[in-house]
Amino acid sequence: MNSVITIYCLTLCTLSIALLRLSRRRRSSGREIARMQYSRQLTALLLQEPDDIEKVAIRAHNARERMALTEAIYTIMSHSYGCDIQLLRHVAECNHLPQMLCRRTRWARGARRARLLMLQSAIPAAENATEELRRYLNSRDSDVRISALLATLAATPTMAIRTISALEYELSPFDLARIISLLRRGLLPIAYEPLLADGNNNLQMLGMAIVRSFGIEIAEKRLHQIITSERNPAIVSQAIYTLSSLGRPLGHTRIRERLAAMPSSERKALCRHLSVEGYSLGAVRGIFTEQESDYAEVLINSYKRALARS
Amino acid sequence: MTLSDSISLLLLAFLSVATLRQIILAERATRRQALLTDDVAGCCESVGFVGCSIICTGVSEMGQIRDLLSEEYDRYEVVVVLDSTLQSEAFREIVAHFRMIRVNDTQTGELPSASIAALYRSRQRSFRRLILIDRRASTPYDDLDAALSVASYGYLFPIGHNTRLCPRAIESVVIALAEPANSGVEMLHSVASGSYIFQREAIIRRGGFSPRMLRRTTPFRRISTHLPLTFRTDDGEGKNLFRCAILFCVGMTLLITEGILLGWGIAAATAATVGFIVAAARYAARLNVPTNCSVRMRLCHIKRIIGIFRPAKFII
Amino acid sequence: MSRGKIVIYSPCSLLAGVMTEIVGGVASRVVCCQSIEQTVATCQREEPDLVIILSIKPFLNGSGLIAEIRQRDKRRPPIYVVSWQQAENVVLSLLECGVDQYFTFPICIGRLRNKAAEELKHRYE
Repeated sequence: MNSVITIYCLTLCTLSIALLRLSRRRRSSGREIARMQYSRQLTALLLQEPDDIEKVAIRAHNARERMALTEAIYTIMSHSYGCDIQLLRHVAECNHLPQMLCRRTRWARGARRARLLMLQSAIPAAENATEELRRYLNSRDSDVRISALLATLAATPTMAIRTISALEYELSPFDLARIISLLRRGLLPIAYEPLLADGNNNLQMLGMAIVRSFGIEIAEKRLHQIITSERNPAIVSQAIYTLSSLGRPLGHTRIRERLAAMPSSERKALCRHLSVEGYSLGAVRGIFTEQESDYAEVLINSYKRALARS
Repeated sequence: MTLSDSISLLLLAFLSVATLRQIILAERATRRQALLTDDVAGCCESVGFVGCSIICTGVSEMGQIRDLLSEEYDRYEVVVVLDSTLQSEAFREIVAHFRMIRVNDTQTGELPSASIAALYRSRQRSFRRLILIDRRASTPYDDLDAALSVASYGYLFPIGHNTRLCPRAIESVVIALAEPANSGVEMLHSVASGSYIFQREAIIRRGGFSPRMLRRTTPFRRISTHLPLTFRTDDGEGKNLFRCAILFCVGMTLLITEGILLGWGIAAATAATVGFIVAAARYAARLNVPTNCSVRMRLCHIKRIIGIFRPAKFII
Repeated sequence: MSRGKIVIYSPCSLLAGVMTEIVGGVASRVVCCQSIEQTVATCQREEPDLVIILSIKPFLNGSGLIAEIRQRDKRRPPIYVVSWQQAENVVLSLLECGVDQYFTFPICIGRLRNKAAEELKHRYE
């Protein structure tokens, strides 16, 4: 018995000491410093716009430095647009970063694999790597799936519509937001019309996300068409919210009919959304029932100064 | 080896394994969040129109309110409930600092306990996310009901005294709730921080907030995360020392009693287990907020680990 | 020759470093701060010609950053904010707070550099 207790106590003491040491340690501070240095070097290089990129010499000497350089390129790519992609590609290729990322991705699992794939959306993929990226598109891990999708879209932007339409799962709003971030970086074309006109739900959702993100008011007619003809209630709901985010009127007969078919909890949520968005009471009365309009009136009035004191 | 010794050792081993499991899960969740926070968090301006209202009870300190208002997520607001007669100074300070004016009350009749004496919003656009409710002091659950009645968004995050949000907590919550698979979810529970996020309509259907509300949520309508969403700050150095001293005295007394009753071997094993839980609590507390090392937070973690033996209760 | 001082506030040191590199060539001195208090103190000490803030948090939480900076520096340094947010209400509230220029990420680094250079040139003309 005593030996069992001794082993138990010793194991726990070792674990406790390890945890206390880990909680004091600053995470990857060495890599952070290297990442910072590479970010500054790359920014300076991008501003210089060198004539001969072959002479550019940013070197990473070991695995840790290569990872820091990859993260630095990702940081610059994700926070800027219009950078000299050729220059960054040259730096990446000189240091064999695409190959390193592919190799590491193969061995990693879970969040680590997702992160490596996400980094690949900024680093140009190695030759024949797109086939390997496509393998992860149907991973069971949602983070891996979306990171692989972003990397695939960045590697083959001309195939974006085909890649998204071939997906076997529904993209979440956050996945769409991440695709929009690629668009904002200029890595994908902003062509919302073919997306809205497509019968694929993911493409329609992406089209509406683009309309919202860039405030494309001329898409109103197309959104009305979706509300009129679409069977999927989730798409219809998104189209109505998209119209409201553009600040467009919602009093159209067809919108009223689709709203009437919505569950009451969803209508109530929309009612609250419209009052936050600043819709007038008159606009709200035109689309909701009397009881719901009374609820909306209370909400809208709560944004007005109280003149009568109790 | 007596039967009581074996049972005691088994119980202690079970506690240690449960603690270790929590640490591994929290570590994994934090790594997943790092994926989101590092760079891509910038793109979650409004994820699928999911909004979150922070509803506060017992929150009057300016630092805490400013901290809660620091979230960058777009569809977000903070509802503070105070009694202007009891906390007149704090009330006046908030009204003056955030340039608040009295607006028309929202008596929607959704909850009977949600009575409001006055409602305040800011005249300055950047503080429109703050809503101040003046109501007579009552139970924290009634305060939360009142905050619910004015909340604009579909999900409610109750916050109590001295509680702060972890970095990127709101984005993480919203991303999880916006997943198509989680569309009907009524409750999100953060196992690591013991915090809950509720669907507004589900609370109204249950007649408001209460300590027993957790039991009324069906398991398939709740999801849990091992990501810490909140952390608690200490009241002050003096109170901390006092709290630590009390805990140390009580712990030593219990250990000596255990040593006398069950033998010194089991007492040593208990001490090692408690030490491990404290170390794990410290590690978990600093996982997401590296600067966080409050005694209160560690106590919360310990309470949570021990809480696996008790039925869940919603305490704010 | 580059003239002028720039103060950068960013809770993220990496972004602050990148920003320093972008505007570094156009200013004689660039100081990075990681907290609001540090930013206010630095602005008092350095009397900068341009303040770049890489977060909208100081405007949302009532810290009164701009008021603190401008109250003590009568030269009224221009304030640029760079953030991810592009919602109309956020942009309007920043302008209402006294922000002179708002940029959203992703930024064009060349354009930001030119903008900072123009601002400094204008102040020294």
